[in-house]
Amino acid sequence: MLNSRILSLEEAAASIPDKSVITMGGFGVFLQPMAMVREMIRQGKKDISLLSVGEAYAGDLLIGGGCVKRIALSSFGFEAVTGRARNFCKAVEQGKVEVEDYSHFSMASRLMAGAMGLPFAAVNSLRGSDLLEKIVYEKKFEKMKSPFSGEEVILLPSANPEIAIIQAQRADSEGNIQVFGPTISIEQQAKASKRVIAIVEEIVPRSTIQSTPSATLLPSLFVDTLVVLPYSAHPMSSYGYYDYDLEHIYTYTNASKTPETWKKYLDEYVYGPSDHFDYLKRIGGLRKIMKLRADPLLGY
Amino acid sequence: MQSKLVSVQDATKTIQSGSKLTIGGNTIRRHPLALVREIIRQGIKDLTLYVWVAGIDVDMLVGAGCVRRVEAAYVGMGPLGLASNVRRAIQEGRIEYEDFSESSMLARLRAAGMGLPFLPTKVLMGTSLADHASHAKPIICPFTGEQLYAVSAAKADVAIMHGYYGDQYGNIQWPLLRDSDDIDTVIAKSADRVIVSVEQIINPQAVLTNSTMTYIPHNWVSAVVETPFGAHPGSCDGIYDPDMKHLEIYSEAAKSDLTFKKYLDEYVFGSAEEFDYLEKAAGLAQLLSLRVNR
Amino acid sequence: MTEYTLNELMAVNVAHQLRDNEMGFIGVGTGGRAFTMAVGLPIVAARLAQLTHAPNFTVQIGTIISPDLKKIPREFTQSTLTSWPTAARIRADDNLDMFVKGKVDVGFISGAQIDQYGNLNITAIGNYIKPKVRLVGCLALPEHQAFAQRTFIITDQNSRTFIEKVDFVTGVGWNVNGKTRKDLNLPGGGPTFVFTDLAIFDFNAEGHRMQVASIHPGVTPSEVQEKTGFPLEFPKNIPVTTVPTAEEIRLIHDEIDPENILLKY
Repeated sequence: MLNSRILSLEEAAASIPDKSVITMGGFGVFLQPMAMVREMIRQGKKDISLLSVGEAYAGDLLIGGGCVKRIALSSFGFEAVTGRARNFCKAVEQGKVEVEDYSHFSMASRLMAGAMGLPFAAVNSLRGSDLLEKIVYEKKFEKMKSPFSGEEVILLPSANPEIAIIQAQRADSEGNIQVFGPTISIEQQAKASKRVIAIVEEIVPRSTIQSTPSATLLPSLFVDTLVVLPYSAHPMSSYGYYDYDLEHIYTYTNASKTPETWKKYLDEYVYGPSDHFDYLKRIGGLRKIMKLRADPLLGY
Repeated sequence: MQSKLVSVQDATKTIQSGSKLTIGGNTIRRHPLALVREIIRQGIKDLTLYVWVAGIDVDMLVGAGCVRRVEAAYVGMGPLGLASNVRRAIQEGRIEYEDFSESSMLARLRAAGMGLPFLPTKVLMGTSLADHASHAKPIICPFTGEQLYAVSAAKADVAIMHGYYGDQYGNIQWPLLRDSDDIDTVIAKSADRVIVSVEQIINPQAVLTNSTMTYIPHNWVSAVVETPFGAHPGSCDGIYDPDMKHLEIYSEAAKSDLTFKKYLDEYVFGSAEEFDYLEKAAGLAQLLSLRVNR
Repeated sequence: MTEYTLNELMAVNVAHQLRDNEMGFIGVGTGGRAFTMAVGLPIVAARLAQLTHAPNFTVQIGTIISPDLKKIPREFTQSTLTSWPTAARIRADDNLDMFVKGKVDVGFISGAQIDQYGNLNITAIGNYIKPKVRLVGCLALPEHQAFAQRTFIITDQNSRTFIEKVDFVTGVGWNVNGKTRKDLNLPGGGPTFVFTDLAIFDFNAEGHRMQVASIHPGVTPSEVQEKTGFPLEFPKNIPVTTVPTAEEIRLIHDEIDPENILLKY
């Protein structure tokens, strides 16, 4: 990757065509590319297919923004925080998106196989579950006897998204990406994809990366486009930088209860802001941003 | 340990008009400017300032008419040159001013911290400083017979300073990488009461497991307040750089009483609290761009 | 013939006077021309000395002790100073104790006024109580002049700055109102050289008055006297200031200051 590949959020989002098959990094309440999702909605992306592990907030927002046609996922839920991901659930219930279910492990295995350049992954799970029986739109599996032991294994097609959108903490200007805290399946998602867009909090000098090489999850050769934008995971957390914004997460989940309140949410926080900094102003400005800062030693 | 965490307003309220005040930081670096702005808002007057290498902190207080007297080794704006409010006030005889060198002012603050009435120094010999300083008197060393100057203790009622991190009990910590060009520990020891503003209040557990980073312990501190970007428009080294854009606005405004009054009306009196000031003086995008790479 | 600028000529001549194993003290925090004279020029001279005759010469810049001069920051901001690789960062109060104990070998200093004995004023012009122009104060100029083993004064020369008697003695040179450094019990070595845009000066052995050591190429003695507010002593055969060698200029351009930050103004 070269310096010239550093793009603005708007430019990077514009490079994502309608109907793209994408995967997004993050899990739970951390490291999801939320600012990018908001920009994709603003740009009116249509018919996106998601290959997802557990990036529930990014996925739910993209679905709520009307950008998604199809999802293969392992789970979209807000877990301990607020329960179901309502935009996702409603879209499935109303038949607005096609959904294909996998387990965390099987989805991660598909991406891992994709990252390794293999045509399929072999797993021992899923056998006997409806995950294999209830198939919506794609050939999901094949059974095979191991040529070595003779035991039966399940083969899953490898996943090769067209674009991975990765949220990370920092990079140098060449695009060496460092991730702190849990890295989940970010590495596999990026390496399996044909193109990688990474959004980082800040650019640091090359020497900083060189002095902490073990934190480099994605060397620059895996990265095509870099976007630099502080607090771009909000309301998710970025370990070592800022915590998740529980107050805003409640605002979000409450808004997703009815179409009226959801439309208001989109108007206020997605369509309304003139740019990312205007968004940050609307979610509470400097007061909120400073409150979310990570404790320097604890990292959250 | 007892919590000393209070608001900027409550911390500042304890400073009486007519107090002797000492201030941490250096030129345009890590001065407690959130506290300074609140002193101006509260109309605290007739202050005597004992400072070392001072800058925008003293210039702002002098420009706002809060100061009667300054004793210092320097008041200037670093790369931006002279401190115009102070310069005008001295040239027009509006404040009393006493010059010291860096080590002689340090000796005066150290004497206060050590509970001594004075400390001896050689540095003033032959200088014009000695001719004019009321707090420097020639003495003969009782042991060697050599000529020295005694400089009197600069004992302040209150020290105000800006730190990096602190817990609610007032344990103030350095970051690992810092610029060390200040005498904040000496200043903290020199005063009866110490008010520290910090960039961020951190978990006390972090202090307990990282105690060598504590440079001002809680038992020196009377009050601690959290003021993110509290040294703005100056820098807090390792966390953010100076806001040269706003410093130029400041320096321009400081060139006359009329323009500086407008500056104060706009940015200090026009902002009920510090977050309002920061939004007005810089805005979110500019502030975040000042942050130093980790 | 090697081409050079006036700043380069001055820097090279400062470098020639630095000795191996010495430590020089450079201040911080000024801008423009004052930055070049107080910070940029001494850094170039120090690094040039390291690369030529004094490999173990080190500097202290503010409270930064022995920074890696192979890695001079490309811009002098608070954060580049803070992250400059260096042997130590000590507290400013410890730093001043070092000064007072004579640990600084060469102090690089400047002033708004200088007189024939090397007394310097950076505090106020005119009457001190009601000054015509109030300046910044005193900083550590009194410490430099009182305690450094040698001080090098680097300044531009004109008859307003080079005057018979300074309005305010911030830093003591060789003689104040008839009192010598010895009379005043000052342990430091006092001012050794004055480097200006016209000439280099030192101080005579008897009365410690400023005298011409050499005049820069193309400058006449009468020009130097014209821009000096007190009568100067000239040697019989006035030496011309040593000009930089091609190698010295190459080192400055290629290795020390390739982006012309230190000697810009």
